[in-house]
Amino acid sequence: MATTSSFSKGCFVFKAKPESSGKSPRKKTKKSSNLLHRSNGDLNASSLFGKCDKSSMEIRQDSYKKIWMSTKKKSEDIISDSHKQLLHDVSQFVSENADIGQSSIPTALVALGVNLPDHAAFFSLLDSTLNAHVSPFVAMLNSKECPSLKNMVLKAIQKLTSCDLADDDAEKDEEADEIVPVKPSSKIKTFANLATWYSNVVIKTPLIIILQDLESFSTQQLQDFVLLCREYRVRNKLPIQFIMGIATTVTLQQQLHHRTSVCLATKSFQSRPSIVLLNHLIEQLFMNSSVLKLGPRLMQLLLDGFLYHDLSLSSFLMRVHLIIMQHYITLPVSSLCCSMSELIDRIKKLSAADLDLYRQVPSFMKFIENNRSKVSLLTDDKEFRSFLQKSFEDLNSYSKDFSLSCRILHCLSDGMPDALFGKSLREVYINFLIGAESEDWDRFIQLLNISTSYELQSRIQAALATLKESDVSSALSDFSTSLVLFSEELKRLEQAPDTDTATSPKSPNVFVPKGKKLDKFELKAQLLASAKQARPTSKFDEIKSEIVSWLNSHLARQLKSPTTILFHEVFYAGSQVQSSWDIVPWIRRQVQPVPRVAISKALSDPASYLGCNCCSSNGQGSQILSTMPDLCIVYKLHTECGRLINLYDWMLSFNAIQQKDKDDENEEIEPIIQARFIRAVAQLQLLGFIQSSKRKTDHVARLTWGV
Amino acid sequence: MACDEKKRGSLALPTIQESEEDLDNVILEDIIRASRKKKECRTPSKKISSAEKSKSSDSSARKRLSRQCAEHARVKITTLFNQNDRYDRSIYAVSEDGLTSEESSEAFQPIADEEIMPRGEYGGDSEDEEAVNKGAELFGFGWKTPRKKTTLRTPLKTPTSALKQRINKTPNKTPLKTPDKGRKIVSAQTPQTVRRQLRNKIVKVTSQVLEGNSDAESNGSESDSSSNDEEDRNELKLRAAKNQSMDVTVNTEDYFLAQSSSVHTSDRTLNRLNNPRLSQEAVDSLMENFDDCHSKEKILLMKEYQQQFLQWIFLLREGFNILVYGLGSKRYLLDEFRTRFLDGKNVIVVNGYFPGLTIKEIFNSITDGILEHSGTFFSTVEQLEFIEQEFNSTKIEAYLIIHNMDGPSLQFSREQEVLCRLAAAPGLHVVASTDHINTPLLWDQRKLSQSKFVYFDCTTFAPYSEEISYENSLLVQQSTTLGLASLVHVFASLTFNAKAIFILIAQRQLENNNETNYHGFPFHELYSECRDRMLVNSDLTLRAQLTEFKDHKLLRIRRTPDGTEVLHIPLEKNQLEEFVQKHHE
Repeated sequence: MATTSSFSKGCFVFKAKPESSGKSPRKKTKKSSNLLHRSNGDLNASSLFGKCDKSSMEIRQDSYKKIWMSTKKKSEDIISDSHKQLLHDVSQFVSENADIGQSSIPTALVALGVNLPDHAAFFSLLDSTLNAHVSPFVAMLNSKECPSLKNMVLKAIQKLTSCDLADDDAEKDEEADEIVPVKPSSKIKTFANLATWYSNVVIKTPLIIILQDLESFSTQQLQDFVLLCREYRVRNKLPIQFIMGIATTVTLQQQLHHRTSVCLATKSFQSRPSIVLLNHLIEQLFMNSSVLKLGPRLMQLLLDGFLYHDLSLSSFLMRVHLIIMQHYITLPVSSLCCSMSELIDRIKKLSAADLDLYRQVPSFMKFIENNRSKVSLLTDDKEFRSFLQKSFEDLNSYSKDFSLSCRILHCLSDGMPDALFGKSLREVYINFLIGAESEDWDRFIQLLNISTSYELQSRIQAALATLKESDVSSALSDFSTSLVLFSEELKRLEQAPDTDTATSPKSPNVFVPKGKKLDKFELKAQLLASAKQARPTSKFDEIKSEIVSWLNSHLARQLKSPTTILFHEVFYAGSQVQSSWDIVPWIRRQVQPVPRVAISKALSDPASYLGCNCCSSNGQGSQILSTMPDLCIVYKLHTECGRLINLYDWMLSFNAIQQKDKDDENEEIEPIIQARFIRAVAQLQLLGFIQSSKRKTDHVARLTWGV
Repeated sequence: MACDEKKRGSLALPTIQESEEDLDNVILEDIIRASRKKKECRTPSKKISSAEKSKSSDSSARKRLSRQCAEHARVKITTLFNQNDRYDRSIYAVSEDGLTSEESSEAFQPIADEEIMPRGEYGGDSEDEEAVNKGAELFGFGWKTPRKKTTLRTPLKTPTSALKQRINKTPNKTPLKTPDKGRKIVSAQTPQTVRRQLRNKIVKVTSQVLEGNSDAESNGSESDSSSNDEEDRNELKLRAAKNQSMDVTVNTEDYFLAQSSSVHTSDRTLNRLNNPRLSQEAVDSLMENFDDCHSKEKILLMKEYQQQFLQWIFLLREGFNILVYGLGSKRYLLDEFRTRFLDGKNVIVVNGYFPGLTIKEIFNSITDGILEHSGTFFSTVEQLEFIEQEFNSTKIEAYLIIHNMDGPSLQFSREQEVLCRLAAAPGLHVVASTDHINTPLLWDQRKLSQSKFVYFDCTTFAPYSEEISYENSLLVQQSTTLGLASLVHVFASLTFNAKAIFILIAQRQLENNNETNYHGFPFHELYSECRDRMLVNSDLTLRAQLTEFKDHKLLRIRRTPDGTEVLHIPLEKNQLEEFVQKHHE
């Protein structure tokens, strides 16, 4: 191909040849994969999904597509569901204020939170909702496309009128629409034009102007726009309405002058915080019967990214996408990561080589080690196949039970002090995914022990309600029956007041003989004695201890971390601790990319990238070796300087390092050394470490500090 | 400002674990450590001997040990690299021998390995395993010794920084900061030999200090290495991660230290050099002959990155965009990607480092070159909308390769906004590279989520020769000065009168060349002379002519202290003579 460097232009176009005509085939072309594998010296390897034979690769690719599509669809549904109420409220507000009676402009202020990237989804939903239910005249404005008032007005009018045109065109003929270049309704350019245009419109529905990011518009521009709209609303009876999206807590009064803000009849709406949405998303995506789940480390990583960085669902979903993709690409054993209905079929199709891969799964290796009697699984393919099927089914039912147990536990521990396992279900789930600490569990049991009958009853009822909602598998069916039993017993206890409690006052705790005063020590001794005395156990206590011990044994068993289960690696993405199949580092780099660190590291320790013996600094971070690349030497020298660097001295020290090995002393700087130094300094300038300075001749300014 | 600096460290999460980039390495380290354990179990004698070694307090033994460590660390890094390589290959290609030994070793305890597993099937070839074990053992060594620790630890807190400070305090020891006292001695009178001795002494002292320092360090961690011996892998990994992140922790106080300290640098200038300013051509020709010692390693690195190409293609197809970062020019890498995988597709290559690049140019190459749109646009906004619409609605696909997305003409909010919008279009796939350390500041959340970048660390160490060729380097002779060739070209296109005026000025300049206080041809004198020769008829026409010369940098107009305007041709004497001889007829 032609060169792409020139002194006269910065853009180069390579047009696709007509036969391929830009529409690249969906799958990787044979050519490209061949090319890659030619370089690897292996022509048989088929593609990115590598490793296994072709069928396995295709299966994995298919499952990836299927799983991602379903995840995507599910998440979209969840998000649109969660916005449903807000959308309804807003559109109701708009239609309620459709009449032109009042002079001020009806304005809906929608507080959406700081997760800006997610707003687009909401506004597109709002657009379609309004179009469908309220009015076709909707103009969505964004601060980026309205740098000035003129642009803003033009854009607003163009968008208001183009919706109408598009509808008309769609009704008349679509072909005409295609031929006409994208310059619709260029005649209508002012509000006056708009007013005449609107007078010809048959159905008088409101004109809705949506300002997506209120904070980003300049105040003056916004004020002018509002005043303009109000003017035409009053004079020409244009039913203009505003919907404004707010990300922060800025109020309209702060943003606008009083003179302007009185023109607006505002009503505030609040979207649900994105963390609530996230909880919902995690519950729906990973706790329900999804095929691929996230392992503890990845879950933690994603949550960190969400909570401490962007609070954005769209980035969260993008990362989930990457994880799903990477799981199927990297993990050769992901071919069985599918729904249970397909499992048997797929196990049948596995080749011997595939089976060997499954034998190398760490959790299976551990299993074999502990169960030497099952060694035959390693050689007998048939036995191994059935074993695979069985353990996968076990794993599947386990993860169902696990999620359900988390739900139950959440009900049981809800409202307890300290929020032992977290307040939300998501937190409980993740806590146990990682493996909850036994201290927390003990404390939970303790707290259950001291709870009152009413509390216990309500907790059990809540747990039962959860159980009823979800389909209960075999392992948990006895769970629900015992819970029902317990609750009934408690109920009986409530209805028939305990006889024990009536008798208990007979033996008062502290016996004080009449007429005799106890001194402090005697009293203390008596109190201690009475504390030691075993309190008579009531019926309630009996039942309670029974419940608690039952929970302690049964629920805890269900809640062991999935990383202890056989073959969890296949279904829990990123759950292997160590292996070349591990995708966590890769994902981590995507969530927390560190470009600057990479550059600094390469400069200060080039051997870590180059892998050469000569430059390894043996831990002496500041040591400068003459074998290092010039750029590194120059960088290291510059870190020893303050704000300003004398170029001449810098060059001398560079020279000194280069000449260190040579004995002949030569103060003269060879031209080649000078040229190398010049190159290195220029590169350092490109990287942004230094810039030229006018403060002193032949000095440069350092732009970083520290090391 | 301090806050900014902190942000620069990472794109997404500034504060949490900044450096996790080498987690694979850490994990690989763990794997190797595991296999080391295995080996130790098999050969207990070795363990004892090493323990003995580490316990010995004899300093000479320690020295030997540290030397060994150095050697071991080197081997270790190579091993790591091989493994990295293998790791990558195992993703993208068929592995011939099933799983390699590191993988199996992780789950299998020593006995199980030999007893149950048929070697050929699981263990890889024996040579391989041997190598890994060796590397592992060495690695363990290197890991436990402080040297490794110091690499990871931030230099700010290590004794090395203290050392640095110490050096700084003794002014004549650092070659960079030669404060006045030291400089006077060194540069003014001292003979060559004394200076040489002094320098040798500095080198010696420095190396001694460095050695002593490392010894002290090794003392410290030898003691804790024995306690670490039974430490479980997780903890180890955590520590490594911690160390890694410490590596980049930015101490905000340093900023104030750096800003408050007075700058004292020497007053020496580049004029001390024989040839203070090399021309760009001279640098280029010199560098042509210079070959770098690490070419082999660089090629290996490049090969490693090229193995990611298939993944890149896949990601691009899935709607992601690629962003490569890391030290070294990534031009060649992206070009390689283009020629190997995007041959015969719609590709637009944008050189972000090109100073004259505009967004309009990028748009035009898309609309004219790819979409073959014949119409014109009223504004760039409209053009952008058209492009977005085309790539959204039609099946057309194009690949946008942007070298230096943070280049001088693209590093503005508006440009980045536009690029991210382009990246968001489903039909446009962006592969971009960045180099500047502050690039992450260019993107806000919205841009980041729009662009859907997948990040790849491609540290190539390749020289930025193309990228810096446009930049006015600090030390290179500025080429704004007039060359004879350009003078000849411009002169040829002048009118007769203008030519005569210019020759007039040139002759006067040559006549007065030896006079030191000649500033230039006074304007009024020139005017009267030109009138005499009927070259101009008014002050204004003369000025018009002069402006043309000035625009072509043929002439410089200055004011002398007494207020007269003087004209001067910025050309060397001999060049001017040559020129006048040629053209004066």
